[in-house]
Amino acid sequence: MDYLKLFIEVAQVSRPTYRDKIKLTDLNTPLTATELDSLDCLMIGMYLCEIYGIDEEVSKTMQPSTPQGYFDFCNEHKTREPSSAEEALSWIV
Amino acid sequence: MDRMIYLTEKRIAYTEETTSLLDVMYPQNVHLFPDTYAKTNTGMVYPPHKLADKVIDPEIMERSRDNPIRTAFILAAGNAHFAGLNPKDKEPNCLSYDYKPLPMTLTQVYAGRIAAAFGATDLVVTDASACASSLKVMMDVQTYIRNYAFDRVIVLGVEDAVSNTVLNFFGQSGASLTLEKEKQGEIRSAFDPVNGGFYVGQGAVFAMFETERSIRYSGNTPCAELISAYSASEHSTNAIGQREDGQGFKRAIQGVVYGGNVDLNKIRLVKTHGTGTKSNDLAERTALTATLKEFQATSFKQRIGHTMGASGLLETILLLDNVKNGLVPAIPNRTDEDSIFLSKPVPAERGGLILSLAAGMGNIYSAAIFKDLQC
Repeated sequence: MDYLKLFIEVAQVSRPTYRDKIKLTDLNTPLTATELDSLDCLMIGMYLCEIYGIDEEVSKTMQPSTPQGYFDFCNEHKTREPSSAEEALSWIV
Repeated sequence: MDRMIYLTEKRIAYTEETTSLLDVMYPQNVHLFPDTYAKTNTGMVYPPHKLADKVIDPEIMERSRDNPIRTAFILAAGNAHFAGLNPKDKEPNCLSYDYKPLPMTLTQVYAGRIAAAFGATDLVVTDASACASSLKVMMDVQTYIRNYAFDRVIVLGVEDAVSNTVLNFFGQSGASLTLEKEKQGEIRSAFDPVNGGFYVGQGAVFAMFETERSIRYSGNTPCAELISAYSASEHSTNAIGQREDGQGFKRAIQGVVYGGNVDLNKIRLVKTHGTGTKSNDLAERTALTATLKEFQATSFKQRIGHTMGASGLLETILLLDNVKNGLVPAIPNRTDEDSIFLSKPVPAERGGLILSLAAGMGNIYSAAIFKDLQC
C-alpha cells in the first residue's frame, strides 16, 4: 500500500475546493507543519476510518500528530483493508 | 453618490432533468444530481457540500486569494439544513444520511472553511432567510459595500432541498406537486388559471460582487450592476402563509425602487418568485400589477425546480444569461395567452433593468434590481 499517496488523495477529498494537492513527502511530518488545518485533519481521520471499517465511536479516539499516526491507528483498529490507494478512494468518493 | 456594485463572477448549478422518487412518504418528482447522494449512507459526504462544489471554481478561488481587497463572504444557506439530520434509521433511502463529523454540518463552520479558501477573511456570515436567502443577501452586499467600505463580497447560495425532511414537509402541506396530484391532472406552472406548482430541486449559486477598486485589482469584467436591494415583511399572523393582497411583495418592490432611486417605468423585466402556488400567484401578481406599469415577467421554478435558499440569485443569473442569449423564456405550461406573465418566449432587450423577487417562509420578501451590462 502506498500510504503517502493514499494520504495525499484523501486530503484532497477532504478539502475539495483546493485545486492543488497538498505537498507532502514524508509521512512523519508533523501535521502542524503541513498545509492542513484542524478541520481538514478531522475530515481525513473520518475518511480513513471509513476506509478501514473502523467503528465510529472508536474513530473518535484517534489523535494523530503525523500522517503516519493515522495509519498506525487504522492498522490497529481496522476491520477491512483496501488492496490499493485506488480501491480505498473508490470506497469514499 | 453611492458606490457602484458589479456582478463579476457567477456560476450556477441546476438541472432540468427530473427523477421520480417513489420511496418517500409523498412520492414526487424532483430535480436532483444523483452524484451528490453517492456515499451519503457513510455519513461522510452529503448533498449541500457536493452541490456547492459544483459552483466553486478552484481557479477563481486561487485568483481571489491573490487579491488583497477587503472581502466579505456570505453563505446564503436558506433554511439551514446543513445542521439538520435526516435520520436514516427511520427512512432508509438515498436521501437519508448522517453527519459524522458534527462541526462540518454547521453552516457557519462550513462558511468559514470556504471563505478562508477564497481569502475572504475580513467577514464571514451566514444567512437563514428561508427561500429568500440568496436574494435577501443582496441587501447585505449593498450594506457592506456602501456602508462599511468592503470592496468585494462573495456569495455562495446552496441548500439541501431534496431530502426526506423537505419532501415530506412540502408533500404533506401540498406545496410541491406529488405524483398523486399529477395523476389527477395537475401540471407545473405559475400565474395560470389552470396549472400551478413546482417540484423541489437541487441548485447552487456562486457570485462575486466587486467595486471599481476591486475590479482594478482583479481585472474582472462586470456582467451586471446591482442597483438596489431591499427586503421587507408583511403584517400577518401566519408565518408560513402569504397575504393575498401582496403586501410583502409590494413593500419589497417599493423599498428597492426607493433605495435605488429607480424610475418605475424603466423596469420592464421581472424574475418572479413564481412558485405557482395559488397564494403566491395571487400575492405576487397583485403586487406587480399594482406597482409596475409596463412589464414582462417570467418564472424558472417550473423548469429547474424550487432550489429553495439558492433560488433567488440562481434564477436571477439564469435570466441574465437568457437575456444575453437574446430571449426571455416563457413560464412553462401556461394555458392562456399572456403577454405579461409570459406564455411565450419574447426577444430580450439588452442593457435594461431586471427586477428580481423572492419570498420565504417566515414572512420575508426580497427584491433586487440589476442592470444588464451587455458583457
